[in-house]
Amino acid sequence: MRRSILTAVALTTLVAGTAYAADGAVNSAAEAQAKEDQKDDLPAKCTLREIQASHDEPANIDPQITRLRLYFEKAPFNAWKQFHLLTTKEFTLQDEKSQSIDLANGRKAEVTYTDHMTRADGKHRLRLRVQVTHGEKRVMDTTFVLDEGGVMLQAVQGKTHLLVLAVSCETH
Amino acid sequence: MESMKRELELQRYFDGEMTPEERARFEAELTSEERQSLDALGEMRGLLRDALHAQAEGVNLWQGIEGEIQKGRPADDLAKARAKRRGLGTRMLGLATAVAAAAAFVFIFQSSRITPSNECDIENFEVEGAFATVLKLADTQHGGDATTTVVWAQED
Repeated sequence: MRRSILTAVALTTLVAGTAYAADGAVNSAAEAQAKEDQKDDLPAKCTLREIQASHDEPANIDPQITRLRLYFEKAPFNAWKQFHLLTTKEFTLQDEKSQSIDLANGRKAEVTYTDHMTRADGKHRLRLRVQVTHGEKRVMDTTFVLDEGGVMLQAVQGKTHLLVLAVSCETH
Repeated sequence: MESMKRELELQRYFDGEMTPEERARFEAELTSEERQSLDALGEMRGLLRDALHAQAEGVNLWQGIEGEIQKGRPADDLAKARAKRRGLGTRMLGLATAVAAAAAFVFIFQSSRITPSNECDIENFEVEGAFATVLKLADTQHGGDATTTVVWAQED
């Protein structure tokens, strides 16, 4: 009889302890999820750079171009000689919001911040969409997932010039 | 719709995916603008080929393979290994050939197909009035183990 009571007490304690631990785990998971949700709501700070390249001599890369310089010194970009930074547009995007930007070639670019995600290795990734329009015509529409702070390049090659758009966004 | 079909045919022609009969028919219908586009695509492929060859020249595959063999072989087995050198040489030649074939495949795939990278995965891509491809460039400024994605469009 005494053994039964002890067993019952032990079982009750075990169940209660497990429930408490489970409750703690749920709370921790909920807190982590809340933190993650909060992170997801963070706005993205974005930069769009416009660079124009030509075959004109002498070869020169605008000193204002720093981060992208190494790309332009290698193929396929090094088929062009001169690179000028036309504009640098900085803007902040809320989740699922867009920013429209007038480009130097008379077109419009619309950058949309679609999603933020965290990979298993802790790396933050952003899903973005860049639409380039010419009047009513949609010229290019690209949806991509990029490392936080990473850069994606879009090069539009015309008859004499190359226009490069460099898009980068980060939430932290 | 018709122009999109024509663009697809142009891409197939450029990639060498047409039968001889299709090529002959297509060449007969080529416009001067399409010829210019093909020239531009050819120029782009040439630039990429040069860049990849330049990078490949600086790589000594055999040195790395030999290093791995030496590292993994116990000193006691060296005499046996010498006796088997001829056979090993043949196997390594086969391995080197396989590596070279894989590198060639990567080059061909890279130069003519959309190739999303690990750092920037292109999920959707639509272009109108231009020929476009997605390039993956070695990103040496981040330690050489990353890539940068470039969407490259050649306007009509």
